Amino acid sequence: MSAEALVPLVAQYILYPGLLFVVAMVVFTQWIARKVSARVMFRYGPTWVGPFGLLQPLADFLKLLAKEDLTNRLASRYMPIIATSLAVGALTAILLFTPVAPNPIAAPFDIVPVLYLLVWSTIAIAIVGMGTPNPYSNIGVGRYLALLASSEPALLASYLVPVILSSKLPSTLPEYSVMRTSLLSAAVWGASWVHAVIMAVAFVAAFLATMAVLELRPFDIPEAEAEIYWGMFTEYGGPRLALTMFVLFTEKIVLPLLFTLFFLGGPAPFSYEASPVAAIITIFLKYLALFVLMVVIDTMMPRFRPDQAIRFLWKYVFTLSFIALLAAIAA
Amino acid sequence: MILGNVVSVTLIATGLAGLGGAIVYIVLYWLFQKLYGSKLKVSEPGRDDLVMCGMGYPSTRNFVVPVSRVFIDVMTRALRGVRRVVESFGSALLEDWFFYAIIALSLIIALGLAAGGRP
Repeated sequence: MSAEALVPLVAQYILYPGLLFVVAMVVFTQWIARKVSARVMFRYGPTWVGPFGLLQPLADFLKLLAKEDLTNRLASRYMPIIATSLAVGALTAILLFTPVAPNPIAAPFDIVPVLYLLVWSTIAIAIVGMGTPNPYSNIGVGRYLALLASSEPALLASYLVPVILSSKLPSTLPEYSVMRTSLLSAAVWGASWVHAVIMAVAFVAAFLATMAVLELRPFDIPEAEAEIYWGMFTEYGGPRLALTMFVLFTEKIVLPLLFTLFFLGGPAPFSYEASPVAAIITIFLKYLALFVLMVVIDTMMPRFRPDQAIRFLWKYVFTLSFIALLAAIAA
Repeated sequence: MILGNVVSVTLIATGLAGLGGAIVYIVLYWLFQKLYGSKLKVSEPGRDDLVMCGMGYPSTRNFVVPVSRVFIDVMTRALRGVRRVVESFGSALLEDWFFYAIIALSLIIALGLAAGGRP
């Protein structure tokens, strides 16, 4: 790649849909999450900071960043900070592969680097949890690794279904790429009734696996407030907590956005080539609807026991995703 | 659209992730600590000796719970039912609605593909 192409790519990465956009989206989505969950509980949510409390998440974020960075004697000093910073960088890079970017990256089989970048955040959160000697943190990490071992295979298998099916449809876009999957997602649903059945099965598996990877109830067993204090994040406060939460909130942008692109028709009913602005707005509206649904489920559901969650993921979610994957390969 | 091969795209994405990580570290951690956090540091006797925050006293005891033990415990309890299913293969599966649903779903998809349900 030439220097002329690299400079606008870096500009995209820093501005839109890169780091600055991610920070703005984290503030906005967390405001929505807090407002929606508050209304479900007959509360008002944030109201003071900014119009309708819109800037409350930003105020909380800046407050934590400006605190003294306290660690105890046996805790890891630098690894959690480095790991969370790299995780944010990796999650932001994924957005450059999607149609929301003005000049997206596309290559044959680029689903592989996208899935590889997704793993950075999960490893970073595990490093965060293992960075302190607190027994609650250790229990949280053990639960988190068990949850990952059960949800990640299902997530990967189910997300590969629309990638494989869209690569079998005629198109000039690179095969097995995020762009091709996003722009042909609606066509995959309507290709034949068998395709619709396979996508429906993968849809259910992907939705549940996404909830598990994002640690939303009923799968929030690694945090498990009031059960193991705060699980992996027990010892964290100040800038460490701010960066860790930043990773979790960024995951809640990137993963549901990928779900929207792969399973909710992407930019449909608008054509990305004919009206890209309308297409991108449609994508974000679909993402927000999905995000609100996830927040409502997270607010209403109780928590699984750890063994219940693992058993549920292997028995139902992985089975469905595996069947959908086999059917997509055979289709 | 920026087109390339998967290797170059992976390297570029990794480089961008590193760049983003560096920006996040410098701006959100180092800069904030330099401007605000470092001014809040208070040195108290014994504070740097704390093993766990909130304990209030230094301790030499090891409170660590092995992560592997928690992982194995959770997975063992979760998959204990699988051993029961394997040992009593027939009766346990035949009583499970999900088993029948999977069979039906697989049949529908297989018959649909065989009947030419392709685009």
